Amino acid sequence: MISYQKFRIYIDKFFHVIVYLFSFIALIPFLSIIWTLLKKGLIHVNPNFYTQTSPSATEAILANLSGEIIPGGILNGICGSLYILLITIILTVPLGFFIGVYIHENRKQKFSIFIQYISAIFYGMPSIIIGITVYVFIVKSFHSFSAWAGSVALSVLMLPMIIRATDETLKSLPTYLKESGLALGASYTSVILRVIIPTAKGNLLTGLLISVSRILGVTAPLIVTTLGCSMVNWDITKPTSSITLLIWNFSNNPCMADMVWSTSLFLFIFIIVLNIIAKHIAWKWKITLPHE
Amino acid sequence: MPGNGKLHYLMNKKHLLELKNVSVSFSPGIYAIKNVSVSIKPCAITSVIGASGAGKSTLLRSINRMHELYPNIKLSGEISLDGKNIMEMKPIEVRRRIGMVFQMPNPFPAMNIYQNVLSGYKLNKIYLSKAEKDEIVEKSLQDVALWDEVKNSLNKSALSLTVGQQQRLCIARTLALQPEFLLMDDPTSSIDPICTNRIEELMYRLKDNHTIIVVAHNLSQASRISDYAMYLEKGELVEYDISNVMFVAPKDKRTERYITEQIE
Ligand SMILES: Nc1ncnc2c1ncn2[C@@H]1O[C@H](COP(=O)(O)OP(=O)(O)OP(=O)(O)O)[C@@H](O)[C@H]1O
Ligand SMILES: [Mg+2]
Repeated sequence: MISYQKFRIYIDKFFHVIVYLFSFIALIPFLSIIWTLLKKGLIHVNPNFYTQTSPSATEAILANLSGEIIPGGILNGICGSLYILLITIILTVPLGFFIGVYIHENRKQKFSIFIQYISAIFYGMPSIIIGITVYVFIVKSFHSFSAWAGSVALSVLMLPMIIRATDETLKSLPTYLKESGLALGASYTSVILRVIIPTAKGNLLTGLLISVSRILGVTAPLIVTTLGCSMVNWDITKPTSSITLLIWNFSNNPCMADMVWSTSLFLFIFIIVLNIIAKHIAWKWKITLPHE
Repeated sequence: MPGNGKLHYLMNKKHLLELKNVSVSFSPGIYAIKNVSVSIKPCAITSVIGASGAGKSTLLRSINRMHELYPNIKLSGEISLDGKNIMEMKPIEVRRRIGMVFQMPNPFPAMNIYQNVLSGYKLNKIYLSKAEKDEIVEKSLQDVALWDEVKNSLNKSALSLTVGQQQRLCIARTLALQPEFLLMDDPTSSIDPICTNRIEELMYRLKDNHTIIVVAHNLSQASRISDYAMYLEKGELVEYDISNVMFVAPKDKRTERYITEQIE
């Protein structure tokens, strides 16, 4: 009996060690990525990096030859990313929210089940497929790469995320919230707007920020829809750059290899910050529900 | 026994709530409420008693049209308010005239105490001046004997209150809309005895101009507060009578058995 208990304790210890070991091994690539990003990325960081547009190939070659730091920055990428993202948010957030509410409230309706299927399929859809589809239907028909084509592609990626975030958030709310609102004579819309959203706003915003941070890193569909642009562009119908497109362009040009790291570092930090804000909001706006 | 307002309301043909052959089923062929017909006495407290699963909550919720939220629930028969079928009225009108208090206190988490009392107005988009708001808040909280406890912390989250205070806040929120009827589903189940007393006193005061149907927490509460009592068993209305009569001399064997079991 005693030996059996001892045996169990050994087994327990053994698995503890294994768990720690594997966690550590899993950390190695992660830490080495951060290390490389910092080591190689910081070289290039200077005020110009955020205020100037990306250098031309010639400028990069000249700088390489004379051993100087490559001039220029990623302003066109930053502006492009934010601009494309803004349009994407406008296209997806209200729509995704309404679809999420609809699905949650009518889970068993035929049309709702259909939408749930579609949304689940698109949630895991490889982004390049979406990019190519948008390329065929929008870029080709309008004879131009454009910011809005990119936003449409990103929207197709983001919509299922918003729908899921909304649905999950609503699922986490108790039914008595809705019932007690309706019991006061309120209309359904009123309960959603004045009770459900204020109660869930923290979770909804967190869901949005997490989706945004995932969308920010998307590259493939942008290559075939917005193409890229060496200048800051605010015309929705023209090719536009993005941070990820710049990383892609830089990495295709051996002379600009250095820029890859600093741009990646920027994107990395940006996404980390978004995630921290998301966590903070989730914590700060957390509403503890009674008797749950 | 019934409140002073009774005669007045009867003469004006108000506060008349009637159920005719009401049945409710959650799935075809299985009834949570079977053929209940009853005419609720105005300006009095009617308690609903019965074992767990007897259909007490289902009965109350169908009077407030809560069953409509769930498409699988089917209701047949007729519930009428002052002679009008409530299914043909606007749900908003029904629910404003027939307020509901739930078993568990459920203040709106994102609103403070002040806003919770006024939530019915806000949710119904009825705009009030600051003075009107202040007046309604004070009066409603006075009604539920909560004013003195919270008057200096109206901006605090409703969830900072104790469970008993939260339940009184929820009653205040319902009263603020001046309903004629109050449906209360075991409102004292999560509350300590002192608070329970307060709520019972409150109901006693309210029956002067409200008709109250309450699922009683136990027989002693039912006999303390109610003028009339309904005994439900397996969805059937077994007996409906003046509560003192029913508790002392039940007419139906099933009621008698239930009452003896409860007393033992
Ligand atoms: N959402 C539901 N879906 C299916 N059946 C339900 C649902 N709610 C209640 N029922 C059934 O309806 C019957 C009556 O339930 P109800 O909640 O009205 O009982 P109750 O008298 O209020 O019980 P309690 O004293 O436990 O609150 C029960 O048999 C219950 O199983
Ligand atoms: Mg119940």
